[in-house]
Amino acid sequence: MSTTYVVLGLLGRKAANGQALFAALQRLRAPAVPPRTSFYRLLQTMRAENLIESAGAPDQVKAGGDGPVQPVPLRTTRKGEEVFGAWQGQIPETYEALRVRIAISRPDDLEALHRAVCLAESRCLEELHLLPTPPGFPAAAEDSWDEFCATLLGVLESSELSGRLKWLQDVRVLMESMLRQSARHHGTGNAP
Amino acid sequence: MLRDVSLAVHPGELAAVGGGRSSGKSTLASLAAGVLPADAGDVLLFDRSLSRMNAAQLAAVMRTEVGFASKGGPTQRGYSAVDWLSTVLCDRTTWRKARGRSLDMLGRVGVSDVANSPWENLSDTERTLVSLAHALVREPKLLIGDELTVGLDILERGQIVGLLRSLAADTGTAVLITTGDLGEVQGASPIWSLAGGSLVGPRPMAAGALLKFPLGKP
Repeated sequence: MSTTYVVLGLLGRKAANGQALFAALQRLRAPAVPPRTSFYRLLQTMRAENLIESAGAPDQVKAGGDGPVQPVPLRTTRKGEEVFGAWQGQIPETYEALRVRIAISRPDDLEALHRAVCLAESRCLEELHLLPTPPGFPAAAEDSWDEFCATLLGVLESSELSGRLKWLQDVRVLMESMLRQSARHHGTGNAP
Repeated sequence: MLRDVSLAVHPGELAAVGGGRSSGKSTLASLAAGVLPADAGDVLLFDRSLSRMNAAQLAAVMRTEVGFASKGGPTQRGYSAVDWLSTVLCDRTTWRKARGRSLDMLGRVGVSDVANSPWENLSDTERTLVSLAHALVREPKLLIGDELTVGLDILERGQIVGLLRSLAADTGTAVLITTGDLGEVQGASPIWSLAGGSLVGPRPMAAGALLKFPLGKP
């Protein structure tokens, strides 16, 4: 389901054919990039649901005989824009979803993204808070190997979480700076 | 510059504020300890406003109720660890008793073997522990630690954080530390993230908090 929104987001910015879309998905490292055949089936489904349509070009035409197939550029429909807009209004639930949202965002997404980043930061703090305190360092490996492994895994988890937290902190600072700049530019004074 | 910073620390808590360089950590620590006056808003210590105290009142609070630990040491070269601690207690007891209490405190934090060593000869971990002892020897109700774990390896960090956790739990001291990496202070609670001068984290509970920053925007 998330691939649908990524496709809508990409096509909302610029029409593209299936090949270019698939390459973009792979570059984004979007969650659960489907196999190529499944991806093209998804595009067909999205066409059938009137979420996307051909961008004015004719259906695939062979350039005479056995010549190359001309790929068909696609774009979002009005319904596709509405569906994407509704999805954008939701706060990303996971770290990966936030990353994809940022990757396919547009300038008017900034305030919503800032809220999402603050929420993700709070959630990251909660995860750090819930990490169990390491059991301690045994005197010898034979004494308590399980505890030692638990300590190693705890260190790995806290390192990953603190790395994520640093990313979120930096992103929040950048977004708040952009919001202040935009507020000054537009004279609204509503920046955080 | 700090904006809309709002937090509270209760007795017996080991609280942590984490942020990168120039996030405002040391400024926050200095405000909490009464070392730096706030330009706006207030810091409440035991429900008393630091900004409304005169210099003498503030100095008395700093001497008796707040301990501030950072990586800095004595201003004079050649001071031994025990002498540095003893000077803190000279206003309330004899030099002999001050030395006795100082040696005891250095033992409690695990560095009695460097009691007579000058600051310049101490390792990073020893300096951190001696700084802690220096902040604790007055038995403060609030301990502020500014970036105590920087430059230490994982075992050394574990030793410092474990000591702070025990201190908070056993004596009811409220402890607030700043760190560049919240992952290094496992077991701290509550924790806040500071970036660009603004804070993300749990909203403070007003009742019973020993240290309170003014409530900012929700």
